[in-house]
Amino acid sequence: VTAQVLDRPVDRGLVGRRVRLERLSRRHIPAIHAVVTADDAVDDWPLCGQKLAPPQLEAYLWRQSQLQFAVVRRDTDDTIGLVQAVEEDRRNGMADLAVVVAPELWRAGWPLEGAILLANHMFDVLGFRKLYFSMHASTRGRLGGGLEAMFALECTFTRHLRRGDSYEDLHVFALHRDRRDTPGWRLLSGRHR
Amino acid sequence: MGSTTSGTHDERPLAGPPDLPALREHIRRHCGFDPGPLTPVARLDDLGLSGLARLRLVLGLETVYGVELPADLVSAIETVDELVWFVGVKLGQKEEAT
Repeated sequence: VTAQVLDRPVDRGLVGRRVRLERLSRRHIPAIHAVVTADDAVDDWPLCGQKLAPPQLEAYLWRQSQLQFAVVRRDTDDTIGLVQAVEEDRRNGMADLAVVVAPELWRAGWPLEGAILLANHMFDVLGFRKLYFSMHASTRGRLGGGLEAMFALECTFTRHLRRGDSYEDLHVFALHRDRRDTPGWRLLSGRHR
Repeated sequence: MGSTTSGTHDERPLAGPPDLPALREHIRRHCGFDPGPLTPVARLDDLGLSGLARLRLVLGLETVYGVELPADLVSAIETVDELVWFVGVKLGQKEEAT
């Protein structure tokens, strides 16, 4: 099923205002490799401490997910990140959403449109009903205020992830397909158009 | 006529850039929290308007005012004053083009 999905032409729904999603291919790997191996990104990357070569990274990404897209700027065609569905549970319509964006771009917000595009694609085209989005307490801070206005905090694992010499909480947020009817979600999903 | 914060139903773009009370109300409606009284020099990051909140803020302003803010511009904006000024510039450019 996933292979059929990947073979389809890119949906217009995968094009946002400032970014578009492109099916991950070899040409995206160097830029994504640079993002995940940047010094200030390593702590947020599950391969913390491991510096994979680009071909190894590509193999790792495809082992991790069959549904993943490069986040590409519409104005410059630069690859700035990656969005993935991981741990897909088709029977129950659930998956985890993973987002990789250059650290300096988190603050600006607009690259996160890529995650919204993928979430909408999974809900509206692929039939998922609930997506999970896990983040460090510090990452939550970088996402700014009002996070709970769009996502439901499902649970918190305390002192869960290693951060330097201590451990940090991990927050798990949920996105429900049927609970997107908030002004913020409509704006992000383009439903206002 | 909708208020400056409707955005989702009344799609007629507004003519002038937001004043500070209107911007505060816009943030409250579109970003899901009240940043409190705004000052021109307040930094957006300090108000919690980074990341996802910045995305919601910008998409909301673009919808309400009928303008588009380029990615590099959104990345460069740091203060409330800069945000209001850039929205005003884009409104002016739109007016010239029409």
